[in-house]
Amino acid sequence: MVTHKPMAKEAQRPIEFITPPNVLRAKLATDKPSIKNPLASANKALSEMAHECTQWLHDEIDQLHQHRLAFAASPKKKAALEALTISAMEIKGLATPGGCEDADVFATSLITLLTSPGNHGPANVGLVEAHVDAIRTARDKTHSPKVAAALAEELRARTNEIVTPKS
Amino acid sequence: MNAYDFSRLNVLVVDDSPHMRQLVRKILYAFGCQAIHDAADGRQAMSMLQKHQVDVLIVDWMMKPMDGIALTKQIRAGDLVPNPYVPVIMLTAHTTMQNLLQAREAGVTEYLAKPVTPRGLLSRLHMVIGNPRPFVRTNEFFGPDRRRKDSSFYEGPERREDPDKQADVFELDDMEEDAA
Repeated sequence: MVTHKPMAKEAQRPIEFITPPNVLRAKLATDKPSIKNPLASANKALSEMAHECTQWLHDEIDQLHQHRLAFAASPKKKAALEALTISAMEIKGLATPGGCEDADVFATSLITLLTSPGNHGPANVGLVEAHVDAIRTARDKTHSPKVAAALAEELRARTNEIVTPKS
Repeated sequence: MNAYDFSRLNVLVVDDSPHMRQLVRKILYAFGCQAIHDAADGRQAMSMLQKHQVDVLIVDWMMKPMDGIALTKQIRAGDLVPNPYVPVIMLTAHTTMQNLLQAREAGVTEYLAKPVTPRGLLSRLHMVIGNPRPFVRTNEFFGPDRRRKDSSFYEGPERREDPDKQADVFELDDMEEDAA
């Protein structure tokens, strides 16, 4: 292991750089990998589980709706906000593999609204609900791509307006 | 790109969502990984780290009772785990610059925004295997070097004087691409 301690300035504390031996490269580097094209292999595996991901996504959107109802009833309840946030994050993770990119866009904006410093969610229940409705319509594919894009833009703009600190 | 035999890689996937764990597992299996452990939160992960040899962790941020940030800090503290240098890839829906900085301050090695893609995960694995960050220890921080890019032009305060480490500007590397 290589270490050295440069002194940036006399007044500064020493910074120690440590370069641990690269055991992972030594262990894994090979001329003959067991999987020749890991990327193609993983893309194929994901496409094979697309149906499963879609089902998980749909179930999670149902959960999101339940959490939204609980949140709307008690917006200042920390547990309700947290459950809604976790559900939105789960949807962000599943939307693309589940074949619903629009849900990813709406979930991203919702997460921004719910997690930005300032805790803006409880004061903007209507906007939170609009996001959840947008995610549900994305799942049901009831909007044309053009309408979905306009809706995403509108929700993102409204969210940014709220979460951006006023100078 | 270098070739690696992932069948020899021991991975720990830490996520409270069973669906996300399954998704990440599926991708890792397709890469050739065979030894994949999983845990539903930071505490379980700490227990796994004490029982199993783990080469890389893939960690979600928001979990209960111990989240991914607390887990990473505990790993870097080194008291309870055999390897405080183990790479931590944070896979998260928290994608603001502020989140990214917080992850980096905790000692996260690489950052990957949800939704997870095979390309994103593979590139982070290649990064931690083929181009690992050196570690830095100061009184306030222990973890992967938070500055990767070279920037010899910086002449401002807090400039490192080590000529081999002229990466002085508070820069973010490709982790930045994931931040919204």
